[in-house]
Amino acid sequence: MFKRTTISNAILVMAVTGSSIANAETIELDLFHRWPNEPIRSFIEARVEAFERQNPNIEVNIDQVLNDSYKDKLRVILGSSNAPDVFFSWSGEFGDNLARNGNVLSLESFIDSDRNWLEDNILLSQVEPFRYDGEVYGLPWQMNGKALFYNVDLYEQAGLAPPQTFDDLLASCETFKDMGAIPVVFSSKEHWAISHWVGTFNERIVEPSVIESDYQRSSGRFTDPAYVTALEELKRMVDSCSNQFTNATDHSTERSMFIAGRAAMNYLEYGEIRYLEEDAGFDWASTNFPVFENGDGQQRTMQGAPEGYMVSAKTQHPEASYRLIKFLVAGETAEQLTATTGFISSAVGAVTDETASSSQVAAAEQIADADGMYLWLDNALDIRIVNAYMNGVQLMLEGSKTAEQVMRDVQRVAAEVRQDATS
Amino acid sequence: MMTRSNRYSPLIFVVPAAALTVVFVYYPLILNFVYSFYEFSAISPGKVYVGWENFKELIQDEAVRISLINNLKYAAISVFFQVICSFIIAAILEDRFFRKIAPLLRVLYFVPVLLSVTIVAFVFQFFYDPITGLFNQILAGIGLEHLRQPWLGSSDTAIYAVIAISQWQSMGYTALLFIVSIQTISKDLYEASSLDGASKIQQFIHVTLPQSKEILLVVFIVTVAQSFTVFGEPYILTGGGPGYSSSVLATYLYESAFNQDRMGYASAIAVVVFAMTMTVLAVQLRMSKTGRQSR
Repeated sequence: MFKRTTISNAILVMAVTGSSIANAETIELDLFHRWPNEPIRSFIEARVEAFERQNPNIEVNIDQVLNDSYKDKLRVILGSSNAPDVFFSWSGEFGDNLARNGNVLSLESFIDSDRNWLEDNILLSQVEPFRYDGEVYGLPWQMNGKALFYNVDLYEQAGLAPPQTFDDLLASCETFKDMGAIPVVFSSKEHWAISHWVGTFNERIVEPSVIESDYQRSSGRFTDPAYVTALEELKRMVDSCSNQFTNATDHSTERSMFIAGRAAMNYLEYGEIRYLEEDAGFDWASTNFPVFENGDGQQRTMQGAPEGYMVSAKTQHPEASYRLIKFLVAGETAEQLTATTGFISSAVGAVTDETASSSQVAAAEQIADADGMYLWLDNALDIRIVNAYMNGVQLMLEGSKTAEQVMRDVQRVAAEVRQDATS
Repeated sequence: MMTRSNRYSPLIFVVPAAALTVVFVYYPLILNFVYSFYEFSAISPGKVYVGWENFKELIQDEAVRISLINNLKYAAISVFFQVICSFIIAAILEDRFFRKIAPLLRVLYFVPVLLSVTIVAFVFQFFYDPITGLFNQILAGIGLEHLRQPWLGSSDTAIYAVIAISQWQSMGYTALLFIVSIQTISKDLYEASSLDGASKIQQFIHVTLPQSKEILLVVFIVTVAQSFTVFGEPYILTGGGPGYSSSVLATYLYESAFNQDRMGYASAIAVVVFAMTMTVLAVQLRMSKTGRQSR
């Protein structure tokens, strides 16, 4: 009896010890991103497998949710006890909000001892938007930008040159309409899609110092009349140059209409180049959004921002998490990123003729040529202001609100946000 | 004589269910009331007590006003279609004249009930598409091109387009409930009224209607309660837009909680929704005589 008990106890001890040794050796990381769609999902899976091969003691569990609900889900799980160790994040207010609330680990201590690697591998200009309160909270894996894509064939048929100014763009509309084409295909069903337009018009029309103050939570007022002008110009363009029923049209339909050759111009992200390369049966090109000759804003900047990865403040494995981020944003992953997914990598020397298409290389050059980048409006502003702004613009576009009324709503919400930020 | 163990044995069956209900229904409900007096986000480290501030803001919030009106529209239109029209359809299907094709019609009316709200919403999104959608194509096909609308993209039509789908999907279900109820009415009543010379309409008014009061009340209450908690259709089809024109309380609650990250304010909206559905339930309890017939 004694013998049997002793043996079984020994087995139990061995089992427990063995499993604890195994646990001590194997680190399990959770990675959360926003691409359940192909080819990005498989690309990330393949790269994570490569990471696991390089780091046999680290296992990575991947979870993903589509873009639209990613922000909602991430906020909830970061507040829970099941926060992922590493997660995708936008730079700007979205990431700042997470950092402000203590949900993200500052990467400063890692970067301090890794400064050379960072400078050699990542475009430092793309790291800056991940800085909050002087500390870096994320590393970029792609730099995205928004450009006016145009149908070269239609422009040649019309005998027109690509628009240099907003007036050029407006002037070309009648010509394209006479040809049976939509001059500027437009959708306003989704808030984020409208916000890119509004952000661009604000950037070109409103004084930079005003924008700098208003886009801060603690000082945003939006009382400058130039904001109203920006909305009026947007409505003028939609009324005279765009398709019908914009509030019922989503962005993918908008892009499909351009790809089908039904529109002369489309405001797209560089990340969407792969759709054009796959399906557009015509020559196309892209240019930075035209200048507003009478605008008081910045005329040569480009809308866009880096997107990347952050580490949860709740992670039990900060070093392993940082190692995973480094693997995802640089090296072979960065070299394969652009060709495989269409995203423009923000790693040094990752977008070349060998690793990307000529359009993608041109996109990277356009980003570099711009006077600077300004954040996506929906990531630059507090979400409450974004909602008031974009809901108002939808109603303005259908004619049930004026630009002044929209801005009054924005001012009211901005006052609430200001109060929250300063209290 | 009952032994002690026998006396307590029913508890074995009751306690687990009661515990589950307490943990998953009443505890969150009470927490929701508590949270409605705080301001906090899902990612913020703490909660700030704000007293009645969330409720004061709610009263002045234009989006809440629009959402509440939309819920009332939902309720009014749903009562008309899912109670009144469904009851008339049920009575017609139970008439001898339709007896041969009634089973087929019952199936046809009931099939939409079996479809998931998500699938129905996606299918109708295609129907409502302003350019390639079925409805606008039909209008163009019959020469009514000027009536084409961006059904889900106009603040004038969006909420009605959403409500219409709910009616299409739910009428079959309520009609089936009415059919079952009508089938329990004694045939003697119809024969007697027929001998007295009552027409079909008179039989409907004086026999079918009074005999179905109970089920009518139940369906009415359920329909109204569902109208105040509806979420899937408006969320998938319009997200509450354009602006807040097709928002309902549940979608605005969701937006406040998970998009604006204002959990306390969302809890306050949930309290309002709860109060409304409880009011409807109280009316039902007051008016309902369910069960008395059988005594």
